[in-house]
Amino acid sequence: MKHFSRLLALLLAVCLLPLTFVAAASAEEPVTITIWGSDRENMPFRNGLWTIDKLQEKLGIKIEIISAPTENLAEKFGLLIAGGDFPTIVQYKAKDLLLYKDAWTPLNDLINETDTPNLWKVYSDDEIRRKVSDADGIMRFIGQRTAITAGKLYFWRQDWLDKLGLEAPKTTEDLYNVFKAIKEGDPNGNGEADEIPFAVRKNGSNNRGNVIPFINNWGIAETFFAEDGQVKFGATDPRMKDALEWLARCYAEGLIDQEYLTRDKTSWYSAWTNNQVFMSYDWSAYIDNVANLFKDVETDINIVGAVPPEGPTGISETRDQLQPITVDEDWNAGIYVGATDEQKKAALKLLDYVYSDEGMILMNFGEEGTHFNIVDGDYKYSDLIMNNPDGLSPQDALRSFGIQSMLTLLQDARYERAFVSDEVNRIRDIYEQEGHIGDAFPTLAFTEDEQDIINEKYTEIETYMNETIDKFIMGVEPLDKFDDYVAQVESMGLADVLAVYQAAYDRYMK
Amino acid sequence: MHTSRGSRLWRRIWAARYLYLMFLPVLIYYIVFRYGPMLGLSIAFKKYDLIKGFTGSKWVGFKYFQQFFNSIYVWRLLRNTLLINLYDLIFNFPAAIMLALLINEVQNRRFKKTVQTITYMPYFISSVVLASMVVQFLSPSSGIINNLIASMGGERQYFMVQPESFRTIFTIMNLWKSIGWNSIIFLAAISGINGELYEACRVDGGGYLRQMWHITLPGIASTIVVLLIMRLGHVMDVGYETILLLQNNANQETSDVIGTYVYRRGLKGGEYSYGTAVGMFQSVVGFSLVILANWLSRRYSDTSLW
Repeated sequence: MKHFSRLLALLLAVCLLPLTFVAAASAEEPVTITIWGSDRENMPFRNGLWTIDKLQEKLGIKIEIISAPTENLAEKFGLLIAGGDFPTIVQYKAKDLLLYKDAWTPLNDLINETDTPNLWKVYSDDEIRRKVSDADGIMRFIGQRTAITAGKLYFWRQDWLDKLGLEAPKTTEDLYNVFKAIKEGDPNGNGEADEIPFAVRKNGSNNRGNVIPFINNWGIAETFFAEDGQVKFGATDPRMKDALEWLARCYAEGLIDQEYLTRDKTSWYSAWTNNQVFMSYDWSAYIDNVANLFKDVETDINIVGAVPPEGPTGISETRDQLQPITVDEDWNAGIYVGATDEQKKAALKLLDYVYSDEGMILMNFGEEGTHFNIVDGDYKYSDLIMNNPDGLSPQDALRSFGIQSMLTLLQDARYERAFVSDEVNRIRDIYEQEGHIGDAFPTLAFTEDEQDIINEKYTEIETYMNETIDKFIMGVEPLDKFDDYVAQVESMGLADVLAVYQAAYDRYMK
Repeated sequence: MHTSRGSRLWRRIWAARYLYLMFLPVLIYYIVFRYGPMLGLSIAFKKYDLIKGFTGSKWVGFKYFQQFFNSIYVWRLLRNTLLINLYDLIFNFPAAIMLALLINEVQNRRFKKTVQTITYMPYFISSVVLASMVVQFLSPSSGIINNLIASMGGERQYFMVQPESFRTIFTIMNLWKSIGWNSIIFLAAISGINGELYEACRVDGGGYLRQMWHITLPGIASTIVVLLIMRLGHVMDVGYETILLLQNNANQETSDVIGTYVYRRGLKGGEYSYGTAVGMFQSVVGFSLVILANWLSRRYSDTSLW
């Protein structure tokens, strides 16, 4: 027995030994902060990325990334919240962060000229500050400052237009005629009418995010939008019926992709490479991505950006723009209220740094000599990026270092311009300068009671609206039923929801 | 009297202590992972506030249950959930039994094993892969099903957006996926039947069909009944992950089930209390059905769960 207890004591001592090392080491350990954020296939956000290591070195803090796969981000965010085990920083969509607004440290006093001069430069502006504030005007998170406002654009195959001798369409009716000519003119020359004049990848929570923007040319948005200070609901607006008539006509004649609800990116790309697609709508970078698909094939393909077709009243715009602060994407960073003071301080230090000139260069361009060179005052990416030895595309190469990632919170126009083709720059400038960018509706902050009404009424309306709009487009439901559909939405309490949105909007504009 | 009974119980437990020791992990598992979380059901009656936690949240009574029953979708959700399960009960449940009976009749051992392996292999395919296979197969432009239809002169169909096709697609997919797996338990039950019974039947001149009808089926009847009762407990829930992957706006009319609804509002929309309330309703119905089915079975046959 004595022998046994001696053995036990020895065992315990051995077990405890590492603990003393930990205790001794922790005295000099830097503060550790954890960041939860979206980890995308084409934009990794993981431990060990070059920029993350660089930031740790620079700021003397330890950063641990909790990668959340982007495919089921909403669910992962829900689990994070429900789990209650919060990281120091959570990066997610503004409206979801605001649902749990008490979880994020109020930043009003923390962001000031002396402690966080770089954040102050941007957030001392009232216009910008209210985009990141809750219903009571308390600043809850840091957003991503964007450099370019043109977000999603139309683009088409100019070579097909030339081949068939077609004029570039100006109005939606012109476009319809061009679609028809493409469908019947067999520009891919295989003797079959297998052309899909308009095909997009499924996008947005209802999968039709890249099809529906046509309705912007009728002067409306799909859900909420403001007109002369009045909040309106696009899906039941009389103009929606006209826009749907056009969409349904195109769909019925096979001019809009029959599979738009289920077409994922891979299948969209293969429709392009199969020489089936004429026109599409997506983020501007996709113009280059699509053109690159044909890089190794010897063709005379010519992908060209296009302005939105004019609707009946002459409106030619898209509302999918980037706001000066992007809040409806996953970048917004809230600092957990329950983090220790050291962690909060370190988090602010990090956020302030990525908003500084130096941090901006690091997060947008990387390191001079390695990732970029300055040629005649212009930032040019090096061969490591542009002609990556591992065969990565420039964008993928850049992002494999963690440059242009979740922590690139201050974007730079030079990056935006250096990185894309001349064609993208040309069309983006046209969108911005010639007024093809419509007003985006702000992300509003609601009070608890307002949120209750939205949960109870709007979620049901949204489900119903989502289903019915697709039925109208696909012709499952004839458009004569539009008035019945409007009546149904109204009976579900649309007026109450609009009143709530109006109140929140008025607060926001004040 | 009381103490002596108590001590007798303890003596019995002590006598079988090793068995109880082995049972302990299971007991702990159930307490920790099955009964413990039931405390969380209380948030169905509260306006659950994440920051304030369980105890700090306000009680709201049956508010969320009322909200659910006032929803225009409640009947649709119930109908879809029940119908999908009904399809499963009518087609897939007997199919597994039939497959088991067929496999049992196969004499060639090697062939039998091959068939078994092939039929239960799809069970191990992840539902994400399975769903994208289904979408690919059914694609109107490039799917093999539509190519087949077109080559026979038919018109290409966009099955994934037809509400009327969804249940069929889902049921066939499930049949393909789980028929082999589900038949295993019936095969096990069949192998437990006394071989002398078959001999006796053969002596009396019974052929294969007679043997199947009079010996095999009655022999596994109790297994079938028990499984059926358990299956009824799940009549209100569907493997919603697969449905979610196949769902889109156009087929939602028939594909929206309670599980996907709870996921959408509770988990994605962050309405935890509402989601919990709906989920709880679903469980209560399932529980009641098990009790009812068991009662019926006990009354009209001699098999029952308890």
